[in-house]
Amino acid sequence: MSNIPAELMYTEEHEWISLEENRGKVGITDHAQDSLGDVVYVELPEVGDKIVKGEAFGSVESVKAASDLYAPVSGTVLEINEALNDGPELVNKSPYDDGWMIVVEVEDESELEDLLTPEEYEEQVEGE
Amino acid sequence: MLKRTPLYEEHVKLKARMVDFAGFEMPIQYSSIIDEHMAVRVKAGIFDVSHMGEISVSGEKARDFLNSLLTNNVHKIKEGRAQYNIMTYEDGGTVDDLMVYKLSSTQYLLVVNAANKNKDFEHIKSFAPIDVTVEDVSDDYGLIAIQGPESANFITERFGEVQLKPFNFKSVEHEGGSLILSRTGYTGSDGFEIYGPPEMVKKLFSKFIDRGVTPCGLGARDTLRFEAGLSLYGHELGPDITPVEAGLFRFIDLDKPFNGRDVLYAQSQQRDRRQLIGLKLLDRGVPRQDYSVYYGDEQVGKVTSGGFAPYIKEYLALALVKIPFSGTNDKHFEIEIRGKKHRAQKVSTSFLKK
Repeated sequence: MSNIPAELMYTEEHEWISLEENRGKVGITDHAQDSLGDVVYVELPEVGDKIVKGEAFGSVESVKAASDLYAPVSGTVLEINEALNDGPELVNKSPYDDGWMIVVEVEDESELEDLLTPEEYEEQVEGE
Repeated sequence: MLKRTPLYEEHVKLKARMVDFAGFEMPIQYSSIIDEHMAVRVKAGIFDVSHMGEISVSGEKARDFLNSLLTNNVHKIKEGRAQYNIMTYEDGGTVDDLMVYKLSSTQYLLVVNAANKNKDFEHIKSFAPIDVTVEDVSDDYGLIAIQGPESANFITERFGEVQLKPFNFKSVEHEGGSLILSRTGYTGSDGFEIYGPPEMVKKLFSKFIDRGVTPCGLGARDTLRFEAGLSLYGHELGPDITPVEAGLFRFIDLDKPFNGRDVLYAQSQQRDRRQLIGLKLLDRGVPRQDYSVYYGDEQVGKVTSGGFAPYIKEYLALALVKIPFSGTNDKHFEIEIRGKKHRAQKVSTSFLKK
């Protein structure tokens, strides 16, 4: 049973986002890290880059496979998690905390409306 | 319908993640591929490799027959020893790579890749003289591999003191049955393989795990062999890749006749042919099979296996390339990873040996 925190919003592609004022913190879910297996490399955008909702903003590579990361919202990248450079395994160990990936300045909060609630995401995961 | 090895229920009990591999339902991982990989490098891990094929070749002429079919010199195998070998077509392409165990002067056991077993069996049979018996005995054997620097301790604990040098094997009587205990493996670390009746091998598997040997899946088997620079059929070897191109000269005796010998000899004299090289990424990224390799601006070949090597902590690749044999600048390689060129340096394919 994977961990799906109640305070986050989710994408169908298994990213999560938390919002604090207009700062959206983004990572991948516990279910995603478990399916991928050991993460060995995370490719992230640079601070200042623009990301677009629904489009790939980076990739996460496990021993077995490479997967794109999809932006839950559009906006400018404010921070990236530099610790993932030398410690990509943080994504496995702590997907919702130390394994976060980027912080983005959210331009249009209405873009969050069609994201999945924890209940909806849980339903999707169970249906897989 | 997928086949199951005798150890299937053990894998389920251990909550392994199962995948379809060569028609078998096999464990890809139990905990984490990297944790399992590290267990083998620093302590000991155990693998179910019962899916491997076993083919018995026997008769007075078995030895000469095998010698005409395989690249390595079968005459040089002493009784009680195993030899790594390659079977080639007339055109030099690879049928399979395999281990040859000399059970007696007239009896050999070939251990082949699971996915190639039927093809190998047919190939061998088609060349066999009437007085050489070729049998598929795969179902008679369960096979487990205990690998890692501490594997000898676990083997001694179970079977008593065993004097076995690398590539040697012996028969061991155990609880009323007969096992083949062999100091071989496919990880680049010290280790043993145990062949025996399926039920007995199943019991041994769980006993070793109870003693603290880490169960390891096919995921770690692949990262371990890759980190050790060992070839895998379907990657570094195949019908369109010869063992000369794969750099396996140590296992090719060009001084004897065998299927494909003339092509391999000609290739070995050629200076502008494909060759297998090792590459170490200088820019971070994960190279994978079929990614393009560049030297300068020119595409010179493809990655055959690639990834993160957990023990030496580098991003590495094996690549089949056509480049000059000398005079190249080792640092002028690039691998295209997901649309971006990443700088790479040519290194020995023996990644583990520094």
